Amino acid sequence: MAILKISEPGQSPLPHQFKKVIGIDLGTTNSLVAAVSHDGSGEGEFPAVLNDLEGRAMLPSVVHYGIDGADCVGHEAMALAAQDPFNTLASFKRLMGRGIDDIDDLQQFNVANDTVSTDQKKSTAMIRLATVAGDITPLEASAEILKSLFNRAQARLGGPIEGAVITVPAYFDDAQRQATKDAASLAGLKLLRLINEPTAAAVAYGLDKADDRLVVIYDLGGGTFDVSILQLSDGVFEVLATSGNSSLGGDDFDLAIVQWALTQVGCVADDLSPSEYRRLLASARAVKQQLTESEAKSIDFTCANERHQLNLSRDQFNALITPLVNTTVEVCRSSLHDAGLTPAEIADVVLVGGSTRVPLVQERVAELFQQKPKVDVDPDKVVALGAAIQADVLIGNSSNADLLLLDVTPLSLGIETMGGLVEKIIHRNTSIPSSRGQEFTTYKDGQTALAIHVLQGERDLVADCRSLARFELRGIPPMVAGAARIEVTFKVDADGLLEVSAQEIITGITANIQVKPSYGLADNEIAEMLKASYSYAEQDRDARMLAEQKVEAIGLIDAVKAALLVDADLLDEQQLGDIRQSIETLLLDIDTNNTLIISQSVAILGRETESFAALRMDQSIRTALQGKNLDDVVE
Amino acid sequence: MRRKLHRLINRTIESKTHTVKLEKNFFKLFELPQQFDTDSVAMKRRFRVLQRNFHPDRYIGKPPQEHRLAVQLSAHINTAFATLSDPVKRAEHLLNLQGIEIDHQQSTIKDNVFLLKQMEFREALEQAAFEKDRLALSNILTEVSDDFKVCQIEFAKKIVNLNSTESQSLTDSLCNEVSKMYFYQSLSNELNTNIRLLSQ
Repeated sequence: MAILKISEPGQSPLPHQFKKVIGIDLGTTNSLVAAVSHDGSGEGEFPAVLNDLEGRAMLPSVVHYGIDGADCVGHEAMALAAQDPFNTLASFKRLMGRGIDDIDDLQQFNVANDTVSTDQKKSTAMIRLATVAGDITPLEASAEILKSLFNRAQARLGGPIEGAVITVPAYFDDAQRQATKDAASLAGLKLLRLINEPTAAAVAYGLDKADDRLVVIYDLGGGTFDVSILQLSDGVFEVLATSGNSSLGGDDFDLAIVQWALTQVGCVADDLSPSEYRRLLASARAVKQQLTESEAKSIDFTCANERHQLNLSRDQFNALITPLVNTTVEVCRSSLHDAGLTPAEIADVVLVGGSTRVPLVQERVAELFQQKPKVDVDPDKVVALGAAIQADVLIGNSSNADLLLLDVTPLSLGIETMGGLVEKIIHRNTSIPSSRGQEFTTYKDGQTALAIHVLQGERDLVADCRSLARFELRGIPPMVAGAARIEVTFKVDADGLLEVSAQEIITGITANIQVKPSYGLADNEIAEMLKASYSYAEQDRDARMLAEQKVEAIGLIDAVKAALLVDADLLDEQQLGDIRQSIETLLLDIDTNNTLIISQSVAILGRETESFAALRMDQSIRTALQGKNLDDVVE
Repeated sequence: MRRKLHRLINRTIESKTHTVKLEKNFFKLFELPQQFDTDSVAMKRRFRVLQRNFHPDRYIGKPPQEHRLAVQLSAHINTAFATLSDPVKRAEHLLNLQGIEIDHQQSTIKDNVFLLKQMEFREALEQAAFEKDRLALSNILTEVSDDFKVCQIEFAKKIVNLNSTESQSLTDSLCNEVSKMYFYQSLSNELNTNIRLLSQ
């Protein structure tokens, strides 16, 4: 799904010719897109949120579905929420990578029947929402939001977008991250990286300019809460610990008001029609926002067509949300403990997310850290701005090339062992990327297969952790119990996504899987959705695939040529000849306009340059060990 | 010990057929003298330099093979840093580099005085946790931390002689110190958790 990028291979880009990349904050309530603009001199870099045509920065994360599919998003869709509640999807970020059992407050969602009815599906399927356009996954709805932001960016920046960084809550687990990544490919975005929201916020604040310092990012959004503790030094943003709650946010403040209002008038949620419920929810949100400034506000609503008016003071509101705010403070404490720090050691506390506007939240955070938290950058925009800055650095536009984000896993990863226990292989707060192997053995004589159940979570029992995937290692030669040596290796990449492999050491038999979370979608399901989402005729689709394949081929040739320019001397003549030959072949194949032929040639060149890549990395390591500056060697 | 300590020497990571030579000696990788006492500031500085060079984010737009290798390298650097930062893992790594592997499932501590002391600590911990006595927990933690320190000093002193003498008793006593450190570490963690829970 690469975005078209056509320039002559080998031709160096003009100075100050910047690639267009964007940062997207895909929020529970609102989403934003930002980009860094460069002035002519190449010196000035200005990150800014890209507004829509009406000058609005925020796109409500709401999608309305008609018979033919999504017909509008954002403000337009939100306007339809009360009159057409079933076909207007909101807050679906809470459902990403989630099954029906995970969500407490499902009454605000119109869950598709088939997700609930069959028990089989109940345990494994991602929640689907019923609309006139059919059952919609939260992933598809997210893709609509991404597409809308992408189109906005394309219009504002005037040209093709070459890649995007999308933010996710730091506390998102593997299933939620994978779902976000899949939504990006469904939207046709080239994803450069998933980065954690608090880390993005830290980048936008530019707090690294000062000396070595410890910073806490408190991020309370519409539906998620994160806290990250970072050590900043010289452009390196190193996360020491992260924690949170992926289903706690401003939405819960709204729900607390709704609950209170219903209790006051002696109603329950079921007494309200879906439209009434949506309207009450909207008023609750408005009252919450007004209580930031006012001391008291009235709330009007109808329950079964009966009108009610109630008065809510800020003190009453504070009492309603105190348990929720206390939870976030506790999470901060335990995260500090994980990092081995005390509140006094923290130099700065930054508030991120619209819900940090609530006065009680600010008070409690200030109380814990004994300092006034920073709110200099608009808490709604700061994450998108950070994502844009990171995208700009990753694509190589920025002069700020020292910027480096080192993040951690929010939750432990492990496998099931005998007795329904979880053996953790990668512990939470481990720096990523991470790779770790551990040996296991068979427990029965003659056992020839081993079932591997991958889990995520902090508890000791399988039942208390999230099941991520199951796979089997087969063909183990029969041995006495305990004789086989099976090494299970977990690899977490920089996006926080897990890959697991298993190998029987004596025989070398292997099995591995890209962890496709139990609550996720199979690859073919995504392919189906992609196909369905294309409005192109078949011919157009083929043309698009060809164009994308060509871009990939040219990109590979460019990269290999650039590497040869620097390090051709690492190869012997035979190897050099082979690579050059493959480049020539690929160049010729590009002109055939045959997608299959090009993809085969790309694969051949890829294979041939594998050892070259290894040699280059080896050289880099040697240089690094000698303490020289790598930039001289690795271009 | 319910949980075994994990093997710490990383084998060469293979990418199908092509191999990058990873420095298995974490002290060399971090340009630190191969000894128990480390300079944590220098270590952190070196960690950042290495990640600056090998983090996969630095390889976006490079050939995909290099990006994949960078993921492995960056993970290796993270493992090395985590190992060197933790006194128990660092001690075990030092022994591993001398070809000494500690089999945590087999090894037993024969030091009766130590074992008795451990049991006393545990009982005191349970008692204080039960009584929600935060002060008592803090006092135990101070005592455990002191013993942990002594143990580390002992190890640092003994391992210096490892190169010159090929003595089995020295090897045994070093392994013994590591096992003790492991006890102290998990006890400290438990104490800390209990203290934190009481502070809420």
